[in-house]
Amino acid sequence: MSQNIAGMFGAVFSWLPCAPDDLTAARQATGLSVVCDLQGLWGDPVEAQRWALQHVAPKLSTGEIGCIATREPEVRLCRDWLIMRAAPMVDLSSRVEVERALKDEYYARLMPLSIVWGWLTADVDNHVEHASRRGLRVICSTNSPNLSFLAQISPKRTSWTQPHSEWLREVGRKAYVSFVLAAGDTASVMLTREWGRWDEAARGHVPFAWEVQPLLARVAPVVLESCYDSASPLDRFICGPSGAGYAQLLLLPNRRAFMEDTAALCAVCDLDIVGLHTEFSPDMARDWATYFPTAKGFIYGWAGRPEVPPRAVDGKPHVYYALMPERPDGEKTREYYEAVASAIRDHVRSRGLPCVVLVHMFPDVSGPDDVPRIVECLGDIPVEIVPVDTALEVLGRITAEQPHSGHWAPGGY
Amino acid sequence: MRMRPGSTLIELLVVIAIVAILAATLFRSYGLAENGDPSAELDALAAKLARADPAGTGPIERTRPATMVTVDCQRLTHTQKVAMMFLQGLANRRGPRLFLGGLEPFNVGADRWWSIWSESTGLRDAPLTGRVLWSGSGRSLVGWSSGMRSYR
Repeated sequence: MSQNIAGMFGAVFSWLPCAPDDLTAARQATGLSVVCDLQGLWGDPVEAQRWALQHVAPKLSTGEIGCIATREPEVRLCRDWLIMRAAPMVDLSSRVEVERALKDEYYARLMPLSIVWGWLTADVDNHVEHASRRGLRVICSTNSPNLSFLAQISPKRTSWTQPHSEWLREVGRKAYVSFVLAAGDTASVMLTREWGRWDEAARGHVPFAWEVQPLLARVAPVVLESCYDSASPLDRFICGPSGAGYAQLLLLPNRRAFMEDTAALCAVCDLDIVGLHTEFSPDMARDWATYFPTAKGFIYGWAGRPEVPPRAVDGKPHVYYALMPERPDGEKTREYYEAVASAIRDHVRSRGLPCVVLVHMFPDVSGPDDVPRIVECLGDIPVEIVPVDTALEVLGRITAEQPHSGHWAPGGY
Repeated sequence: MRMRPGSTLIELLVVIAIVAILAATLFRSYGLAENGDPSAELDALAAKLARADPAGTGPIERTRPATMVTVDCQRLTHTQKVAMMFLQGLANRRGPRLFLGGLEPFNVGADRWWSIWSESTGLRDAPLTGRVLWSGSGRSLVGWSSGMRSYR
């Protein structure tokens, strides 16, 4: 119960928090004395965290906060970073009224656009909604090792560039298919070598895009740099959802500041395509065009929304992913790849040629090695696997030439 | 970067002590009541907090590490890993000093990222050896600063 509070004490006094089960062994092995035992000091977690808000939080950072679900026992988050940066640490639900009210008081201390580290798995939607209403942004950092170490290392550069595709001379009558790895809004993806997908044999042999959290340019730029420096000519990076941090943009009271900050960070990281987990909204699309004028396009969704047609707003293509391959029951068989290819073919048939098919891949399920196997199963439809910037360019030309038809989902998250 | 395999709890705790001392993060007695009634202890804590300076959270001054310690955490329990992460954050307040490997079972291979990085920046593999870890023989931890690994 008091693990987070022990962490906050540690931040203020440089005390080292230790679990009760390890305390005796720690004392015997090191000779260090126990300065404070928090066991039994409070009756319940909310009372404890209210006490901490009153007495500990005033000594802590107003630039970030950690939401650590101590009730999810194997979640270690980025505790090293939080204690180093003296960030408050809480375990409060945004769904339970009394906890939400207290969490709101913690949030009220923070500066606009502060980072909320953490990801309350059982309560994600409320967690992000709550932070967004407070003008804050979330970075999912479930199990993000060594952030305090990596953040302290100076990078070689202060800005980074990625490979870009050449301008297409003409758009052919074919399907332009592109693959993007999801979950790049998190710190953990880049801290864990894209969950291992970066080492797959097909990387560098097939066009493939990776979502990037641009806030890492501020937090731990060497992480970003290592990724960019080892990119192949066929790798591309796009800004992970929903820009510089994860937020429900339609709820964000300081959306303009968020978008401008996203644009500034994306300029540093050479990112001009943005992933969004919100529904399309014309107002938001116009804001993006205004505050991020150099963006080349926006890709929406997590799993596919093939029924939603692409659209251009102020010359920028806005498109939903067509599909996300599902987790197989067991091994990935030929039938599995046939099913993915079939979904792509269905999308092509419904759109007609030329068209663009964007495939979102969850890192725990798919990666570059799956691309050749999917392509093998596509059959004889005219298709080209292209980098995502080429796909957006094609889409920009298609949407510019076609009248807008079809309906859009209403705005709102 | 190749980490010494098979850390035990005792090794971990010695490392904790080393880095704690080096980073001036060691436990100290603040004269709080032990086993007293909770409200008195909370009052004492509140008074101590009221007198404390705000924890510094200024901009990070980044460096290239000349020395660092790596610890393999694969065999540690969850709470031991948490303690190590807290220690890591305290130790790293003064620069990149402590790297923890094998924190996540699904992600052991990801430590390779930083192996590649250290090679690309000219840092050579120089693991913290068992001899260095144990040369302090138990609780006598003074002088363990020589046990900090040097890459250069």
